[in-house]
Amino acid sequence: MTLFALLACAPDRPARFLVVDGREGDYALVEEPIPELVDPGRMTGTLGDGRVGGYLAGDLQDPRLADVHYSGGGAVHLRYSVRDGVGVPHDDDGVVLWSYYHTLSRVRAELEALDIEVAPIFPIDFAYQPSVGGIGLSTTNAAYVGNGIHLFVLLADRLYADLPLGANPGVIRHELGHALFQLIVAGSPFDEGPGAERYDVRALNEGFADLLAALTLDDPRFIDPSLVLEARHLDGDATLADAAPVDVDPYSRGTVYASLAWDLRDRTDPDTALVHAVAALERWGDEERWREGQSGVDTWATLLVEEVATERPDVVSGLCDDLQRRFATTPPVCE
Amino acid sequence: MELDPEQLARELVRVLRGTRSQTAFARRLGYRSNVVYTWESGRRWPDASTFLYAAARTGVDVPAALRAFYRGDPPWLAHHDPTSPAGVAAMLGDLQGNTPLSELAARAGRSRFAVSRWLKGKAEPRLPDLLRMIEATSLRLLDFLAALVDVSTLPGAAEPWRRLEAARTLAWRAPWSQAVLLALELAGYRDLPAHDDAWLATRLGLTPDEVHAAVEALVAAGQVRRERGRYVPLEVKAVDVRRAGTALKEFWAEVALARLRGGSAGTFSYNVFTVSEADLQRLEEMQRAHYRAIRALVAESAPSERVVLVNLQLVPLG
Repeated sequence: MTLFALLACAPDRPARFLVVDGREGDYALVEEPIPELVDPGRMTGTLGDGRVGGYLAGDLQDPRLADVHYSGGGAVHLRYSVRDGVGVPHDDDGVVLWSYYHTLSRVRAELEALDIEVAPIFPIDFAYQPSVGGIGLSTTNAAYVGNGIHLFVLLADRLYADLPLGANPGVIRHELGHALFQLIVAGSPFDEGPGAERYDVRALNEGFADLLAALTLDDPRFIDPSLVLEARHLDGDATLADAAPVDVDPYSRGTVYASLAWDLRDRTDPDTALVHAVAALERWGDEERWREGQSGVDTWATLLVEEVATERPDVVSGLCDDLQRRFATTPPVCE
Repeated sequence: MELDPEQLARELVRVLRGTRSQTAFARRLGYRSNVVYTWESGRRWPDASTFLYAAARTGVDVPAALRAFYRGDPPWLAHHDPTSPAGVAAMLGDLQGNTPLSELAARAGRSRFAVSRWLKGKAEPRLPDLLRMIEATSLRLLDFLAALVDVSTLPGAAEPWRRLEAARTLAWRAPWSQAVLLALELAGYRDLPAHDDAWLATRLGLTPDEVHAAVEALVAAGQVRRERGRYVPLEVKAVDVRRAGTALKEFWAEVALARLRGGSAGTFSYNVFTVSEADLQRLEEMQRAHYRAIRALVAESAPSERVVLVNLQLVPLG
């Protein structure tokens, strides 16, 4: 009877949680509140609920495939203790999942503070370390799945340098960027919309996800703590001319888009750059031509400059130089 | 920041190249492609260490230049090649002093993550960002440029450099002019209906005639102009006058002494003590860091409400 009572007695809900976040130019364990996390052991809350295991069918690497399905999976049971009101996880799983939830909490608040609508994205459930059918996700990764289902996927992580991908605030923000891209362009986090199968659209999707992560964190190399990928540095020399063919590597062209947004950040500030990048994507999403494959997604870069021209004419000249350098184009707004 | 780091970066490369062709200069630096063209056109930038290496390859004694910039021998220079990535990181870390990272990043207008990586040597700033960091950490970018090249050959820096030199000359010849110049930035002065020598004199502990003479000198040096009945500084910035030797230090120390004797308000402290040689070195470094921290705080302080003199002395007695 005594044993039963002990097992049934869950720790008090912590006021704050030990999570990974960026402080003073580095990523570290910090104590933060996660008000939306209702049950920190089961990982359920107002931002979405978690499941562990289960089976994810489909190929996340091939956007031409139809719906992805997630089935099975069990309730999460995180072990943790509470010290001085702070939740301390007993294993890596707790660090990863709490950091994930904390990042969602923060980025939602940050985007709403900028009047960027993200409410339709939430709640978003997540699957932790499911078995994945098909190919493409046998290595480490985190992913957002928005065709047919609306799900975050956090996979086993064995290659990270210092920080598990699933606990990397930038990686989670990147994946949320895909959900926001879909919401802006297709109007729903459940529907990828027309054109999603096109590699050039996917490149813009990747670029937008990168720029959202980089600008909300203010880190142009947010992947580095988990996996050093020089080709994804947004403060580098990425140009359209040097980018890999889009059907081979959509990330490469995506980096060019995101780098232009980073150029704007360096000429203004992270919030200004993000707001204009989102506004440009809204205009791009409204254009009918892209849906019919008639308009190159490079249009987004021009739209970004046009958006900036309306509110920050003082930086347009420099941004036009950046556009010319990266995209080798001089649109009318730059003439 | 009045100076444009991208423009200066292009011009610096151009000046280093001299009469060589771009391709010849690129080959001299070990490149097979014409990378110098991309630097001078602003399409790409050399890393900080690459730039300093290029300077060394064109005959600039980079360690000597940095000693001239520091007006001394910075300790990190004994352990690092300044034309190496580690040397750049050591220099920036030294210049950072006690300035918090987030404040430094904000001053440079760059990501705190990026600045953190530069300081740790995990990544290197490119040349324009090196120039931003030099200005953000030391407020003496023009001196840094002057240590490496003839600043008058840099179109983007020549005029600010000329004004800075004029300000230094005036600060040396008429030290109170510096204080009067700062007093013209006081919020109270800007609220006056018209210029008032007596008002300024009260704020500085001078006579109206002394203020008048200083204002005249500032006008003659082109450092202020009259606008709507008041004088407006054309530029108030850090004026490093160390080339004046000890004359200005003596002058301001004597001002402090006179104020102390006159019973002026202020914080006057002293301590005589014994200390180990090693700790004396630490104290000297602490004083340098404290001085840099003061400069950084002052640079960000607003509104301007008081003109203040600070003297720092640490004197081994024999």
